Amino acid sequence: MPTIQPRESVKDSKPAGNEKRVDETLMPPGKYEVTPEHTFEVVVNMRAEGNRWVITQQSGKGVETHKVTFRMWTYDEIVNLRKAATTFDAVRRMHLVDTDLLDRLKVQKLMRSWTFDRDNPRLKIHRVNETLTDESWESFKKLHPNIIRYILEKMNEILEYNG
Amino acid sequence: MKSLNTTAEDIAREAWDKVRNPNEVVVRVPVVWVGNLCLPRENGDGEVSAVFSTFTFGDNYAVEKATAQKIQMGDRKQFIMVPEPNEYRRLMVKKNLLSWSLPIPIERENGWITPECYKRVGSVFGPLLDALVDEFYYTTIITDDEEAIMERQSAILFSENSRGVANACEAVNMFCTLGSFWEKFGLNKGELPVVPFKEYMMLKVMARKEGDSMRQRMRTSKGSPTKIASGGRTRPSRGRRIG
Repeated sequence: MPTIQPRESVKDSKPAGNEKRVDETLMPPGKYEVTPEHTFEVVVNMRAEGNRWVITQQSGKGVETHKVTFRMWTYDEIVNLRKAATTFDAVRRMHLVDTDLLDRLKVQKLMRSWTFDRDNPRLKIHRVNETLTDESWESFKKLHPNIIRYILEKMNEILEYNG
Repeated sequence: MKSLNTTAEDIAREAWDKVRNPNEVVVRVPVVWVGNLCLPRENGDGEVSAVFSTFTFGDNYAVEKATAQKIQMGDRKQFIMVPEPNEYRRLMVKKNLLSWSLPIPIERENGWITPECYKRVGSVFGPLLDALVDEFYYTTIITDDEEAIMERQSAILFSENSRGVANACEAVNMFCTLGSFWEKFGLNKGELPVVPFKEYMMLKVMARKEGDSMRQRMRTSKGSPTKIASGGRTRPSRGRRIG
């Protein structure tokens, strides 16, 4: 009795694994599409005063300078991250955005590198699938609160308030 | 977001676009390049525009249904359905974005942006598309200011001794104009914008005259038109009109 076998010569039309779509190869991202090169830097100038750090505007003598690099977010990422940070308050019947959670999500999704790990390997950050690991978020949280606040403020100036 | 150098011609052009093609909404956002980032800013030196199809009752129904979440009310076993606002905005883009000035072609199928196309649309600078969606979203909602004016003017319009509203807002104007033109001449919202303006004004003047004369007649008519016969003479009925 004849049996029906799939033809081996017919290839699957879907691209396998790492193979790129032909249209994407022919038409690479334009200048309005976010790529890993679309980054911005937050520069932190700080001076030690006793056992605390004071943020200063200018670099100079006794001022340590660090840089934190973030990637610009895409529209789809805006929707996804805001959605994850939005809850519905059943009593007030309105949606509320947890800005602290949203800031954490932004850092974990968009932070590319920083120089705080230059002299301190414990502050080295690691990513899995382009996302900062929770351990790296713990490292981020180890900074002094005023430094964290400054970094988040400058990050949001670009992401939320368009610079 | 209207730039500071918006001219009267820009405003007229926008109003004309709205009247000529009520099925499309054009939104414009001023932008500025900061390094290799394109950011929307009020005083931007460039501009990005997008054409959305007008957000209809049907669009809202579909999008709201697709994004509805079941929310429990307190400890009770009551649930309400609430649309998720962020997903709602994403679906507005997928459903209503027709074209734009960015070099990314918009491909649509069965009234929606195709998934392949959205992959590219969703990867543009977030703040830029977010600003365009903001502008589009504002065209779909009644603002607090608009609601307050409607509240005030409708209280005057529907009061017992109303003689109309001076400087009517868009809602009152639309309600009265469309209502009277449909009732008298069978002209609907789609037909009215192409009526010659002089004819429109003539009809409007005549409608006003008619309204004035009706009001005048009501004011001057004294007593009841129903006469009661008694002893060879008649007197007006003293009965009260109910309803």
